[in-house]
Amino acid sequence: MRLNDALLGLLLFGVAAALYLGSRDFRPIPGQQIGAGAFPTVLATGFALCGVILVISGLRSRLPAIVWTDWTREPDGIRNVVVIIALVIFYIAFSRQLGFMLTMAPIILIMLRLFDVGWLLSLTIAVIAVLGMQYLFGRFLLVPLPWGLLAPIRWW
Amino acid sequence: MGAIEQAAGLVFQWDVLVTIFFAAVFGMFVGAIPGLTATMAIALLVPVTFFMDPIPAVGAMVTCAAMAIFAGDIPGTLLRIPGTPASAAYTDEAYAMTRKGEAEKALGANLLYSALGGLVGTAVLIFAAPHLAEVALKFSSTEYFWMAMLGLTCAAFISSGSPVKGLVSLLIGLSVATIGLNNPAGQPRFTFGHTEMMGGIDFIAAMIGLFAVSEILRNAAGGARNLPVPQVPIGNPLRGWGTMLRTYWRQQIRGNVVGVGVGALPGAGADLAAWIAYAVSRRFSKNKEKYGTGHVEGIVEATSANNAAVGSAWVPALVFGIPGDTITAIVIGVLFVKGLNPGPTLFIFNPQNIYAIFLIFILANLIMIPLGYLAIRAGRQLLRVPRRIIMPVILAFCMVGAFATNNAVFNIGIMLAFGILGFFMEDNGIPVAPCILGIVLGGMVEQHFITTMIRSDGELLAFFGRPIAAGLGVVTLLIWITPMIMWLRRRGSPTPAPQGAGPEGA
Repeated sequence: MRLNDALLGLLLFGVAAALYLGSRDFRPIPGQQIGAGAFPTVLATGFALCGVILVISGLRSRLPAIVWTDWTREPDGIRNVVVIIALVIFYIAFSRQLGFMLTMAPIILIMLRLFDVGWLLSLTIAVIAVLGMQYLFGRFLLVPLPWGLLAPIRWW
Repeated sequence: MGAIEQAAGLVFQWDVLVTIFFAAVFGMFVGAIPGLTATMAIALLVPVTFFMDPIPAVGAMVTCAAMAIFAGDIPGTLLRIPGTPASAAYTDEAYAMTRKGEAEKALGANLLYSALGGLVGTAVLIFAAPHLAEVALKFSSTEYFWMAMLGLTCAAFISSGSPVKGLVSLLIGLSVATIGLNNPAGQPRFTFGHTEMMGGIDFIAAMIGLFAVSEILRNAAGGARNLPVPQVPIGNPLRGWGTMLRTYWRQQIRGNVVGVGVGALPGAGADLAAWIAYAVSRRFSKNKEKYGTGHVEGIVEATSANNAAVGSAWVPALVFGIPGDTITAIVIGVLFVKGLNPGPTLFIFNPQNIYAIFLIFILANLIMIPLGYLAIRAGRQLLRVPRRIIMPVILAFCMVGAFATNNAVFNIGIMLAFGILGFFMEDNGIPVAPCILGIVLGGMVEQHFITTMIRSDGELLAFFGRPIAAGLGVVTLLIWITPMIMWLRRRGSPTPAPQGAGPEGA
């Protein structure tokens, strides 16, 4: 999804305004004229300037407002992207309760199915990958991956 | 010379050597798979290095980067899909050689000159860095401010097709760096009341998002289809090395020089070095007409340049803490985590660590030859690795990696947000590299900016008050002004200016 430069420029105006308004209330360093707000204000100005340039070049280019890039025309392009984003959100929401293995295994399984890998192979890969990562990161590298529902049968 | 012996003692331990070996294999593998970049290899390696001692951690990243940059030539040569952006400059040429049945010659040249280029870059690093460190000791906040600005400017203006979009990417990165308490005034900024954001946006999670998750999304958007495996025989890549060394030594040296020079610039790295070297080679060649038809000369020069740049990019990184490319940007983050804060003092207080890093550089480029030989022989099998199966597993690694940075699920959210951002930016022709440099350097730029302002009571001329600072400042401003002058000149000329996407829009 490629936005016309003019739209992109408008978006940058929004960012600039948000940065400026958000940093207006920062107090200066006591006894100094400048403080936490100075740098964000400089950045906001930069965003606004880039916005102006992009709006001008966008209006002159006469390209459509939005160009649908190649992947959006792929048969499953949009579906794949949306599902993957949803899967990561699913992990963020449920990994603590369900545990690493019970959340990650379905994520890998669904992604493999999304790419048309066969059921048996998908299931095998998901199980092996999850067990391997739980061992590698959880035991060997001491990352506290949550056990969740599987805590009662934790084997180390 | 006690420091060098100490350094050897740090490096030649079995756990360090085994780590380096595995990092090399990993880098080779990731670099060789089309769609997975050298930066992604490093990003995936970072969470694992958290649990290592500083020397094996840095060693793993050095080795992995060198291997991945070389291995990127394999899919470039066999499929015309560059494995890493650094090999994009001569992909067409190498593929033309493959069609002529000379795949092994192209890959052999890549391997040989990658290793040699890497060694030259390392030599420059070894000799130049300590001297520059002495100069850097005299730097005040003004010089550091301009050094950082110069790096960011190069990244935004030179390395990307469209200066404005490069600048937008840079501003995004700098804005991200303002989040949290870590600013001269110590005020919480843009945290939206989240305690997790007080410490700032975790840069490693952001980077995994920008470089790995966005690539996964892109691959998934394209259906993650498997690639057609080329039906070309691959012979012995070592054949013809002697002839090439004799015929193309000029090209090799020129490529090394270009690579070292470009790599040492803050903000410019291996990708740019390869493009420039290829162009230079063509410009000065006696056989200009053969370029593009499968002629090894340009490949020699460009691949000599990109690996030399990998080494010399570490000069500004280690001496000033200013990364030359995305890979060193990531490594600088890791150095801070490991307590090896880059800067001139690293050379004074911990010289054995620096020498150890140099030793690893040499080892990495030597180990590249046998491993690269095997990778070339196995080239077609490497390309057959099904991306449909690799992608889901890599996503899982990304999530665990982002989580592991400080054991917070919040970081997975950051990773996802930056993954989507990176995907959107690429779709709109906004380069990602300036953004990551902005995130890494943002705090430094602001701190030196505010310090200089306070010291001079708000007098802007203070930024040009010292000779080195004034020089750096003038160069930086010139780079800023050049695109405007070019734009004005284009407006003055009667022919309409070309519109639309820059060269990066492919």
